[in-house]
Amino acid sequence: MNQRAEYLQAFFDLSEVILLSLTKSGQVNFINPNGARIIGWDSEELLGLNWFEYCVPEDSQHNAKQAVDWIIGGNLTEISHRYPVRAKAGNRTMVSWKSKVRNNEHGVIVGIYATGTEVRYNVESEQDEQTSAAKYRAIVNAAADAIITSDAKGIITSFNKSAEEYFGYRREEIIGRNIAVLTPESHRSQHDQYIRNYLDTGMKKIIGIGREVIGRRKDGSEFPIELAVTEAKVGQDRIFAAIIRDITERKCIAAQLCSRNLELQQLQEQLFHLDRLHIVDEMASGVAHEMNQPLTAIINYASTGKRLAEENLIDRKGLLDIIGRIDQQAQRAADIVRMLRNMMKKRAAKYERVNLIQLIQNAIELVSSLNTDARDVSISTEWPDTAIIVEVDVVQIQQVVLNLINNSLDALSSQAIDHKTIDLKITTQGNGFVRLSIHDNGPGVTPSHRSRLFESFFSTKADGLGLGLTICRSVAAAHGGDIHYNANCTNGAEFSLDLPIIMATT
Amino acid sequence: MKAPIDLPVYIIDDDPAVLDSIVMLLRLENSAVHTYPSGQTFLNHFDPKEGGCLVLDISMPGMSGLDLQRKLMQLKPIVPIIFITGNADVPKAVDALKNGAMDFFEKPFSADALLEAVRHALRVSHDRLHEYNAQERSSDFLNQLTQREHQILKKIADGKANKAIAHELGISQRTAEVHRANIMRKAQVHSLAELVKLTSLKCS
Repeated sequence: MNQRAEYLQAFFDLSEVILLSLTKSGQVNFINPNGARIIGWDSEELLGLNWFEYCVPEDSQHNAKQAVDWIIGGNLTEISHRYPVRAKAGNRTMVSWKSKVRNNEHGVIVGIYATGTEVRYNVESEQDEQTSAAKYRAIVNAAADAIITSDAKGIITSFNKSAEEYFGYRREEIIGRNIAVLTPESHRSQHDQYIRNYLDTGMKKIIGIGREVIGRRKDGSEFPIELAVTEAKVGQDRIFAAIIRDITERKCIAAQLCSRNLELQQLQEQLFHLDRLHIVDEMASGVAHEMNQPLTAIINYASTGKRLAEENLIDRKGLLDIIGRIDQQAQRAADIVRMLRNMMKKRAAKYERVNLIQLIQNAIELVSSLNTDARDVSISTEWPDTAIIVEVDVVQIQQVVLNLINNSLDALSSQAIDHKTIDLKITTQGNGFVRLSIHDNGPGVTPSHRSRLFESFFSTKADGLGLGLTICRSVAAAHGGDIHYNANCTNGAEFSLDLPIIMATT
Repeated sequence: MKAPIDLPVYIIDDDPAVLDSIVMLLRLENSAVHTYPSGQTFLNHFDPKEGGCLVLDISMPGMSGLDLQRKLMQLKPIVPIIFITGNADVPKAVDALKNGAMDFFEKPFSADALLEAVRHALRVSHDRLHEYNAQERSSDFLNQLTQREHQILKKIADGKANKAIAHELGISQRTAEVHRANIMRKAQVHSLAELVKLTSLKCS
């Protein structure tokens, strides 16, 4: 027995628990010293004081008393409950209580015994408990996204403020209706099917996956939304929460971006076009010369034919011969016009597989016939034996080659040398590229100009636009290739155009 | 319009169709039309003593029309040049005309205008050729004369009679008469007037 009292005393002294005995009216008739110290009192001081008045915050007194009265009233012999205590200094501590009736020797209820343990962070969690539902509602309501919950059958159970704004329904009128009313007619039957499918098979078509779908407002108008659906289980019930974002604006921006890209593309095409016009302009005198040849021939043939016919000096066969020659020259003139028109035509890029060698030969022919400077220059070529197939926009790549050859011709035209040469050479590179090198024996590019060669509006020509090489480089880049100046070239200038090769065939 | 003079016409152009059509046109009036694809091939065949006219493209690869004109100027310019050009290049036209080109046509030109220009050029060539031939004859004749004959020719040209010439040179009148007859024979003329004309060509 002594032993037991010793244990009890030891545990009593050690315990950081409030051990409290109250009368029916709430007066303290016992409190352990450790417990009193938790709330900043001496245990002696509290004896006889009303517990609720002195030690419970005012806003909790009612609740605390009610719980105690519940026991004293004889409803239960023992309860677990929580209420905060107020320390002498005024600070609040949440305490978890276990309370039990106290009977006298006659079995009459005279008060309660209570043990209380401090609850960490109790104030906040108490507030959470009281307000979490309200807070949750507030958050859901304040969310910019529409949040709608429904039960397993698709009946709407909640509808937040953004949902009201998005869909034009008030909460009262939509709750209880099927969520399918928020989707376009055409999707409705599908929607029910989605839910049923999911419930039946567990296959997720939309659960947990953000999707772009179409929403339908109360007024019947439709708008693009991004939809994410989450599923939760409450007891035995499944509920679905749909989080919906109006993406009308995003779609709009995407469309704008798209049109900006289109504008940029058009701008670039205009630039190509301008450059082509510039090439045509540079060749204008050549074009006039080229055009005048067939016209001269036609006029001479026609005059001759006319004179011979007037003087009855020609038979049918002779006339036909002359007309045939006229026809031939007229075709030649028409070809020149056609080619010019093609050069000046605005066009969208068109990629096709062609033999690079053929493409470059055509470009050389074009330059030779149109650029009078080419007459004094010998243009030599060195091709591989195989056809070099590339996938390119023929007009654009031809434009690059024309640009490079014209540049060389320009450089050579100012030179007083006897043997002006331009050498074109195609070599396949090991890395899946083919290289066209264009070398001339002109003055070359001064080292200080080399780094600026491909800059826009940089030109060493008096009437140069300074766009030719810039455009060449962008064309090459658009084809996955590049163009550069060969700085190692000591005799004249050398440019290289690299293009991805599709294949080389014999 | 005078009757066409049938001297050769040379056409030099690097465009085969232009060349062909001009040949056909000029053959309406001229029997001798020759074509050359370049200035050099023309020079290889050309005889500077012959007349005719040249229809010449001003801009050709290799030797240009202007280059050829400069080369021809070193020879005797019996052959007038009519330039034709594909592009109206004023400085080139000025150069060509300064160097004595007869005409300058911009392609495409009127066929009649070219025909007329060729006619005119051939007349000019004909006249030049005549003059040239006369000069040739004159110098050939003078080269055949002996020193004594030169002395006597000078006095004949001064209007002196045989008697006066014999007296001045201290020879017999008969000898002077023989010299005069030899001079007339070498000059291949029959009158004094003709002789004087032939002589004055050279002296002028």
